[in-house]
Amino acid sequence: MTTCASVSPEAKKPNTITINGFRISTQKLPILKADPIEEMTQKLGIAPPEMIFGDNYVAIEHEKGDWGIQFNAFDALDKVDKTGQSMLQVAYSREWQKSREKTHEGIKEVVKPFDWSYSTDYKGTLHPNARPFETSTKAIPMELLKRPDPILFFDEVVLYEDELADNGITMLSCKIRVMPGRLLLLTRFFMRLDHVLIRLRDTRIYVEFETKEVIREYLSKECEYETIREKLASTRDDVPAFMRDANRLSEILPVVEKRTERLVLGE
Amino acid sequence: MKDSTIFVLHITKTTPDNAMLTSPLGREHLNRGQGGVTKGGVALAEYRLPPSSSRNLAVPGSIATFPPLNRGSHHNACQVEAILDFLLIPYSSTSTITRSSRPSLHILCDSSTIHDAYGALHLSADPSTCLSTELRLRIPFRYHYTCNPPQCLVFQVSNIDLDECISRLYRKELLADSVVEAICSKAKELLMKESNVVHIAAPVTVVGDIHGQFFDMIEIFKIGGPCPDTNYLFLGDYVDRGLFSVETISLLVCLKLRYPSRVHLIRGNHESRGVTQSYGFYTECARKYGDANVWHYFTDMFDFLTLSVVINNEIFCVHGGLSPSIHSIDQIKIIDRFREIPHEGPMADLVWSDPDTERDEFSLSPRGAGYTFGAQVVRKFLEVNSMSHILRAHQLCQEGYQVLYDDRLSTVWSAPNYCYRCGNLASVLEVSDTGERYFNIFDAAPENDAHRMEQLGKHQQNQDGGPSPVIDYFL
Repeated sequence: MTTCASVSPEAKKPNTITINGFRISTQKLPILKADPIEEMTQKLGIAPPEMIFGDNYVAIEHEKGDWGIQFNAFDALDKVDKTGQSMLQVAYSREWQKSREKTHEGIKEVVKPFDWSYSTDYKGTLHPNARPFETSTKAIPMELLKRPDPILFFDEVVLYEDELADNGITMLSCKIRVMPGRLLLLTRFFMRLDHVLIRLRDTRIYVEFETKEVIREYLSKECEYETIREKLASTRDDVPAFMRDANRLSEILPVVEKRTERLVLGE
Repeated sequence: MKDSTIFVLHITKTTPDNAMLTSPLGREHLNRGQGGVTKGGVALAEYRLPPSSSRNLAVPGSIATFPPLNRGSHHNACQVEAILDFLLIPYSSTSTITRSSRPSLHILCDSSTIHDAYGALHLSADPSTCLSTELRLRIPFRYHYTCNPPQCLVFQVSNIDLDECISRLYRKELLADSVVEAICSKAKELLMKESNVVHIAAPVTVVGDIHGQFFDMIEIFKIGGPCPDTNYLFLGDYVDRGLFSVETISLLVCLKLRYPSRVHLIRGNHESRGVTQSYGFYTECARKYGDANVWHYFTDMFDFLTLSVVINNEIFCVHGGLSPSIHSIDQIKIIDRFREIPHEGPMADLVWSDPDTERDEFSLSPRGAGYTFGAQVVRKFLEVNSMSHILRAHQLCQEGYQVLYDDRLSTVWSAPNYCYRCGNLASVLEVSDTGERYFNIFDAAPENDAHRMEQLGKHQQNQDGGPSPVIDYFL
């Protein structure tokens, strides 16, 4: 017989700030329990990552209700390839397959193939009333963001994470900081499949409160694992630590795609 | 002598110019070379070790000389670094080499501390025989020097008090590099005698993944009872991810040595060289000790951990799960486990595989390597081996545990608020002497927040007392 003591985790309210007609909120809760995971699996059609923060989100809304964008795990995972077409294989897969062929030929069924690296090009979920972004060449004004303006609101929210069965890491997380005149939201997808591939996809949302200008920049970087490792081998860096640090990897990974979009609210 | 004592041979100081025995080969190699060059060689030395009754006695003589390079020039910052691998050969029967489990010694010192430099050479044979016999030492070595180095090494026999190590570790103090080397070496000897399937009797408290969450492990001893009053079975994944893998595994190894029949340690997939290089243990060792030696001692020891435990002939315990290559536990017993965890085969499956409730049989993971196992597999395994339950860890569960397949399989997870951000509960499974199972659920220990912030060098707290993220001007 199995019995169990019960403990309920404390609930946390969302963190919110309203500034110049914009409402920014974040919510951070524990990973999902078994039942909600089951429900999400049914809806998505794929098994969610090991650490799934299904209740977490970061949202920016214009108070008039005409515009808003939200980042959450479900919508991000819904953009993961569910067919297995862009499926990666772990570094030692061929070796593994070969060694097992003779002994267990009977086992052929593969658990439903899908992109288990949970790679997503998710750029946020737009409010139903929101006008679509327009392609633009205007970059996010980095100089303004480098100024040491006071930070009125800051949060870091993980949406999902998986250790790829100890073959690396995949993680989708958001960081947001709100200054008196502007805000920056960075949603970063980081995936390192050891000895195979490193992938980094950043979505930045910049809002200038005064002008109601919103810029969305999507930057995708990717490189084969060994290429990066060779590059690092000649340096004095602690290579394993470097390989875990998305910020530092970002500096040396080549860009594969860049898209800038813009929108001015109320225009 | 207290029963918590183990014997260690220390190199306690280096003295110039009284080399007794070095092989011509060794000396030849040593005499050449320039500052900053790495060299190697073999030195042979013969010893008459003091009888076991005498403790803390210096072994007369030295075993190796370092190169007399730049003799006469004394720089204050002179530095010598040497790595010596020892092999103990009983003098009386030179044909049989005492298995030494290749203890290696790393010395790094400069001229100001040269007399304090020490390392430990662990006597792997039974101390009572080893210390009273004559030994021949064969010492392959590598050394690196940047200036006029010391000339030779003097040994001293000393001992390590496990109780003292344990109380230090309960206070989260690190053990000296040489002590870690000694306890790992001792642990290897002990673990080597264990079968791949260790049979134990309940009552026992079973612990799942800990992943370096030291404070939460201390919490386990609080809620589950202290060691050795409570018997413990740990299902692996002691290191990586958390901030205190070194302290966690050091304590577990000391407890295992001190109470070998009351503490059992199973190997998890993180008890491996490959995985610990990617997931933090390597980096933590290097950061806390200044080099990777301690990581080598621990990961070499991991190769000796057992793969499974059976409680009361009823409950099969393993880190990951079942393997298509294993029908009967007798097939586990014949695995050659004294090695790095391979990528494939039954040993890999035992530490890696996961249950899949949507399938009956074994399936292939979409990752291209690894299996999942279904209800029918579990039923059949239990039937063939006349057992009633499978107990494993390896998978995070928000509730701290999960029971599947009509109560035939349990997952126990013992790292609350995993990675300090998952917010999940944890549990230990208490198996009573009659075989009843009770999940004792617990939350993250309060010490985590304070110490994590301390570790990060931050002291920010938000209103509800939880840790707040580190505010930064990210771009």
